[in-house]
Amino acid sequence: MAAGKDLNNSLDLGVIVIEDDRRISVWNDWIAHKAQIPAAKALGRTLAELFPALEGAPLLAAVERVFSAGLPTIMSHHFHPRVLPLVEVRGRVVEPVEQSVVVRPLLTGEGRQAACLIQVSDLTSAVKRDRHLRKITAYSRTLFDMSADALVTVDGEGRMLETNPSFETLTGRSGAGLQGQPFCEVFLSVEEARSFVRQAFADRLRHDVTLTLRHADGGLRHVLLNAAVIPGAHSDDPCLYISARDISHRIEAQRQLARKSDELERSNAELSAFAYVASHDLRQPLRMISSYLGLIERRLGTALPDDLREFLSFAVDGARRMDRLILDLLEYSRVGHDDGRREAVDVAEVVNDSLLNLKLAIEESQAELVVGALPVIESDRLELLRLFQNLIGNALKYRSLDRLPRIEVGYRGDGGEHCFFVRDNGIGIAAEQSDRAFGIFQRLVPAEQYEGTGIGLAICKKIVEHRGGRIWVDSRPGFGSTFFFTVPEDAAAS
Amino acid sequence: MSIALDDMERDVITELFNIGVGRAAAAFSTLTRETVTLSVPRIDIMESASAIQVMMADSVEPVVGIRQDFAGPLTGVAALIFPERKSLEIVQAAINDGFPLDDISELERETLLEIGNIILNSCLASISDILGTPSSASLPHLVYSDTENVVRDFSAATHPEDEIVLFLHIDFSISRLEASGYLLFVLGMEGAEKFIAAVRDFVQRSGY
Repeated sequence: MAAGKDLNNSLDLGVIVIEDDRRISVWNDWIAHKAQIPAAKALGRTLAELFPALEGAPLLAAVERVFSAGLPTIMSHHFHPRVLPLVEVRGRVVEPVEQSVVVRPLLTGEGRQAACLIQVSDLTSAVKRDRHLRKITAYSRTLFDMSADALVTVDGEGRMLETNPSFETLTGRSGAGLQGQPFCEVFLSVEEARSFVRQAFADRLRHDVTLTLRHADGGLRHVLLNAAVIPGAHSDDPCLYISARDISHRIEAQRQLARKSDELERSNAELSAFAYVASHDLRQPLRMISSYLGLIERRLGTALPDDLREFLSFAVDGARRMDRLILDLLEYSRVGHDDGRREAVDVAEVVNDSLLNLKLAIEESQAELVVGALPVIESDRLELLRLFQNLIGNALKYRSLDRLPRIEVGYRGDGGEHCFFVRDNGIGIAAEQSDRAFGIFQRLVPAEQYEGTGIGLAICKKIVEHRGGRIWVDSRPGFGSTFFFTVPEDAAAS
Repeated sequence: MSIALDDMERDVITELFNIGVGRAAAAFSTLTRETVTLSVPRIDIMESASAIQVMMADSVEPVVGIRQDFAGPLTGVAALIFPERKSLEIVQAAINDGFPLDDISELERETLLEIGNIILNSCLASISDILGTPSSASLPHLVYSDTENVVRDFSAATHPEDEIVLFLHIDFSISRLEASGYLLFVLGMEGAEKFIAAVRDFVQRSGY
């Protein structure tokens, strides 16, 4: 008997024995500890007395079944998660014990029904593991099913095991139709696919391999494949987890882009060549017109009546303006031809040179010039000179007649680019016209009032943009304008 | 003594077993909070060879059985048998779980045992009703087999082919799942005779 008691108390499961008067005769240490009821308190009492909540519960019915019919009862965790109010106390943490219970008859030596044994096992860790497994299974299942990338698992024989909806869409085949089929035969080049699978199994990992697969409708899809070896679901044999991203659109777009940019490059080159040739050849007859008009004027001399002299001077002036126009066009078409030329340019020097070139106009207009501190930057010296000369020239040209012109040239470096500005107190540009100002042949003011071809700012824009910068204007009509332009600091940016 | 049952006898035991599985269904419905119906459409007593023939009618397929040995006035083996793939579905339907089960875990194995236990207990109680005395039974355990070997695997005898089997079809309906399986009571010749005698006595006593 003492040995039996010791045995009961050594067991890692709960043991309760109920006699046929329903009183408890065995209450081992395990159950005493987890029920937090010592044996002294439990022995001799009934289960219903110890746990009033058990009234009408399946456990008591199972005990009765033992006594009335000698039949055992299994109470599985799924249906009876916590048959008894048992807890595991770890310091301050009190955790309920998940249980599985067996209720069975205890027979005497003669095979007669003697008592009822209740055996309680602690399933807490198994239940926790099961919950964890369910959680990660649900998680990975959801990921698999919802992935926008096509996913498929392939066994060692190259047969498809599981496919997700995206894979079915990608191939145009149903999951049932794919299962068990050879993965490689979905592809245009079966051999390439086989080599991908072989390599993936050998290296256990394979990244970014582009292959072409055949959709059920006969169309082709370009896919980016990635694969990793994972343990098989039903056996120990490893299988491949493959993701296929449909990059057909990307590849098609890349091809189109390449085609378009080829076309664009060709047509740009043709256009520049055309503009250059045209303007060059146009000047020839124009020179002839001017020189012969000059000859006619000289030959007739004083015999030329005043009105005819005036007509001639209109004609000469027209020819001169047309020549100017052609020269500007020529310049415009040349911008961007000598690409990539870069050197360290002292911008202060460039501005100084442009002021020298504009000396006459500056003196004529009695303009006040203020030049701030300017940096040395990586750029093309001639282009910068053209830029400043155009912008300062414009500032002089579109001056207000009410006041002496004041022109300020300055610099501020910010955010990876050099920003220059040319500020004037001239006539200004209405906000709605500031975009138009940079268009070719766009004149915002009548030619009679301010002479010009309307190409100057278009050239500026072309130079700046060719170097990867921006150009814009802030202006208040009647008060003046500030032209800004930027040059990227990073030489590679252009 | 003939072990063949006449129509009256067959009707009476069919009814008795239906009352038994009806109780099991009620217990189930309480546990699962689902409507569970169980029915035993037909009962036969036959030699084990014939039972194998009936079970192999479709093909040889893996089965899983819940076995309880019973002793007392009647001694033998009781088993509830399903096709293996159905056993997963039954557990799943019983615990109303959308979780995909590829394989049965320890927890589900125990649930399947309890399902078998409930049905077998109710049938054993029905047999006790006929025999008039309570019987005792072992705890249930799971046995994996196939339709060809099932009778041998569920027998305690050395020559199972000579055994007499009380053979019942059982139909389940749990949640949206319809399934059917077999209930076998492997009795042996002596046990079968005892059982039939008890049935005839019961029929007479009940005044059918």
